[in-house]
Amino acid sequence: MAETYKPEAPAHRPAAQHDAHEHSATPYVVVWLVLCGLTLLTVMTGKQHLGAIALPLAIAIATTKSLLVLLFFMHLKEQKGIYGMIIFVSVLFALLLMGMTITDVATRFKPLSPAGAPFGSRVQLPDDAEGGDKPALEKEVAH
Amino acid sequence: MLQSIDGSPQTLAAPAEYTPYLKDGTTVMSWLNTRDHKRVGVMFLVLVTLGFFLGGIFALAIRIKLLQPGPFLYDAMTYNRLFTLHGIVMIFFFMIPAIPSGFGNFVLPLMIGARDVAFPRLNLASMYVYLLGASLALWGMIHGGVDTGWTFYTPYSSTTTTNAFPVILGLFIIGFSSIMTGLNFIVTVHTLRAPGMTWMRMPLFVWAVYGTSIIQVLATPVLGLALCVVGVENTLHFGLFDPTRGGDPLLFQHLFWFYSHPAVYIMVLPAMGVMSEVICAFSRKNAFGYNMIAYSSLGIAFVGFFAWGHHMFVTGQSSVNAGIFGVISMLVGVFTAIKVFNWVGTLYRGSISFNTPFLYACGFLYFVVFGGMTGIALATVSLDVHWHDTYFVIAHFHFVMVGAVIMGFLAGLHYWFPKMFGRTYHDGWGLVAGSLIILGFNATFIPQFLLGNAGMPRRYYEYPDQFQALNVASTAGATLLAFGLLIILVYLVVALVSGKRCEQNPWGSKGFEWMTQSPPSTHNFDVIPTITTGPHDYRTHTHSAAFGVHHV
Amino acid sequence: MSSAATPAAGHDPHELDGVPEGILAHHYSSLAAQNEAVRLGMWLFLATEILLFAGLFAGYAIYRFQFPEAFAEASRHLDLSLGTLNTFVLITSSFTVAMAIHFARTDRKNLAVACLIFTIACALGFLGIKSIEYMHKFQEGALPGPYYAFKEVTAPGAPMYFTIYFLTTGLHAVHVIIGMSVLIVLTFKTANGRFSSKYYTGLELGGLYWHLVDLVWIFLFPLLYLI
Repeated sequence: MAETYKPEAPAHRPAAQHDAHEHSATPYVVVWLVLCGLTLLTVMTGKQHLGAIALPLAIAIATTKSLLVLLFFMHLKEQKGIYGMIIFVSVLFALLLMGMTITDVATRFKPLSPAGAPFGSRVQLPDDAEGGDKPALEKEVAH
Repeated sequence: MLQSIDGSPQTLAAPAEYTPYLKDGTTVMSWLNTRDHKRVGVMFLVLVTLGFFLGGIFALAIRIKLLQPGPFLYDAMTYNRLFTLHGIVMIFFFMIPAIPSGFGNFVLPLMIGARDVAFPRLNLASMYVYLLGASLALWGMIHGGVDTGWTFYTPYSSTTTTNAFPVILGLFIIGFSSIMTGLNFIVTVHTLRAPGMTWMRMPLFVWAVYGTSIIQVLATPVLGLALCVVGVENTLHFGLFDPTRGGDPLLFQHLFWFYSHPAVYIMVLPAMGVMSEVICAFSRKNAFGYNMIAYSSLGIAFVGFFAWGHHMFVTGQSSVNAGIFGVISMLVGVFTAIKVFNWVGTLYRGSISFNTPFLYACGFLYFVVFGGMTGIALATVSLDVHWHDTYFVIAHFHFVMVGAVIMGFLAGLHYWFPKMFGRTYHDGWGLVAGSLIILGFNATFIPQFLLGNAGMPRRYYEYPDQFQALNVASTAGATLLAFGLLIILVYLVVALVSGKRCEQNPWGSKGFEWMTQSPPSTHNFDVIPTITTGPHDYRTHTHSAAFGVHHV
Repeated sequence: MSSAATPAAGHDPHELDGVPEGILAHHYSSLAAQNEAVRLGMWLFLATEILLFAGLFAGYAIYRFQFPEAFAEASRHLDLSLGTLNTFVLITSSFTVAMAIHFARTDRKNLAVACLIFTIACALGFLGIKSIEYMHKFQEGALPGPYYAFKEVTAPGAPMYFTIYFLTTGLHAVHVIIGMSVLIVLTFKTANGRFSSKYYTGLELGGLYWHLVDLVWIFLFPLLYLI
């Protein structure tokens, strides 16, 4: 009377638990060496202090490194797309948080932002006898 | 007798012997160490109800003081603590977990044909984490409380001498409970659906809870960080938000509202899911525009993340940001509107049974429309300059939060009560209590719209004399509201203890959860069903007279 | 509720050969379904960790934007060689944990345990190097807000850099400790033969968490040390 339950065939990619001795360690070694190389690259370019290009370059290298870790060490390359989608969406929302916060500070009326505030952010050292109320960005106020 | 979920008529044969989940182990330990999602759901319901009544006591204390414009009953510092604790308890102890962790836990696996949630032990752990966080926060409340407002704005939250730290830590811990629940439900929906249940055959409550879970998983960590940093500031005074050290108080507000705006959708979305279920069941019609309701659940979850700056229109945010957030905040209203039109479309030409859950559904529609519209008005930056931090805002969010969410909670409670406990309550009393609640609610908060528009600020201990009449009216309404809620407590407890035992499906609903016993056995289904139809499918007419529901 | 390894109705009876007792929960249709569920759960948890750090990155971003000179100057006073060493240490630990999983799923238990122990050693090394750096900061007076006494960097907003530095690296170090604890537990389980080509999901999940710890540092390092 009861229906026999036939489980759905779970959809997993072939690179699962059947290839016990075909799975190679070479990709891991290669990725590790590339990661080390990229680390050296970011340190060398970082020390050059390349000005405006420095930050985008550092982020680009860091992104490349993280993609390598995600795709190969964390096996996103051979697994279901949903896992990658989760990371993609969470990074997107992280960028949203950072983006709108930066936009706020960047487009604010200057005296309302930390560097332009009348309080100033002059560093007060313990043995510093002076007070100090200059805004940090005096020149900024002019434009 | 187990019914297969293919729309075949139900029999009224005497039920076969089975052990309902309530009787499967009767020791205290069998409850405290349960893996059964239904027991976890019931325990959560008990805990959130306690939280609700605690928050309600704080609310009444506030309202009673506000009968008098001048000092009355207690001092201003106590008043500050009371409104802070009212907000904290209501939001974190009740509204966030109530429908997902209470009803979601109970009903979601039944609705998708699963035997349990994906991670039963994590589920139980989420309840203990909730309990730990709540206890810690309660301890802080008893030992001095906190007076910063539930929003913990800096720099006051960094410098207040009240006992903020245990409360902050308690809320940080409760956040984990929310994340665990959301994670559990997402995995459950992805991996444990019965054979034949495609995504577009899932009940609409499942879609709503799925959307809610996405918000819980993505937004709560940011609150965790915000509370973490405020806790560090409160104890170690690093100066991250201190303007004299170059800090930006608004950074905290960005972090806080990035969670707290999506949080309101954590509260509302499951209530909307309950609405979909109740409206379909009590108008005996398939959902009008099922696809649109399902996609709108995801739409609200997604777009809700882009709107947080509307809480900061007047606190120093740039006007560029204000403009962007203002526009996006209005977009979120579109998805709610889609749902409301679809629900009304479902009701149209339906065969209405005016029982208690349906009364709450009507209340919900009214509250979400008017509360939502005042929300759109508030999203207009120029208007918000006048209304911000006044009672207008309070009335708006109570309309949607209390109005809509409480209606959803009570609708779910009354709809699924027979499912959970196998007994019925007195529907007449349900209608009386529901009417009192709806009336009392209106009487409480409509005066507050008028007060806010006239300029009465929120969180103020004293107010000008000319506002007294409206304040008195509001307190009277609150008393009526409280009375209605107490009536519910009475008749539901009576029903639990000595209510009439009911058959498997007293409402004649086509919801999947009604196709197994009421109350269900521990393992939910003797055999996992194969799904061949869509959800809430009323196209095959089953005569409901035998179930005693009245027709309008 | 049965927790024995007897396969439920409908399972391939050979599916659970070689899998430890009690792994498969009763409400899953198969071990593969359970593995996917557990993996999905872990990825969702990683998503929460990403959002957790996002808030601190937002704080970093606005303060760097406001005080570019202070940030650049302060960053130059960090010990770049120690930071670079730490980066290599974490990348290598990521490599060794991936190798540990590789060895476990190809039935080479001892190599897997060795790799895990090396990973834990790297974690300890990271924490040790970080402690040395923190000690330097304490000695120099390069501390957050009111505790700031670092005479060499006095550009406006300098204490804010160190506030962010301590908060981000502190939160990261907490996660290193958590990840290390997870790895220690997994090392014992691997040594006891729990993981094999038939079942290595637990190890895989622990590895995922460790990779996340590495991912966060991959971004923290250039942002803090290489301004």
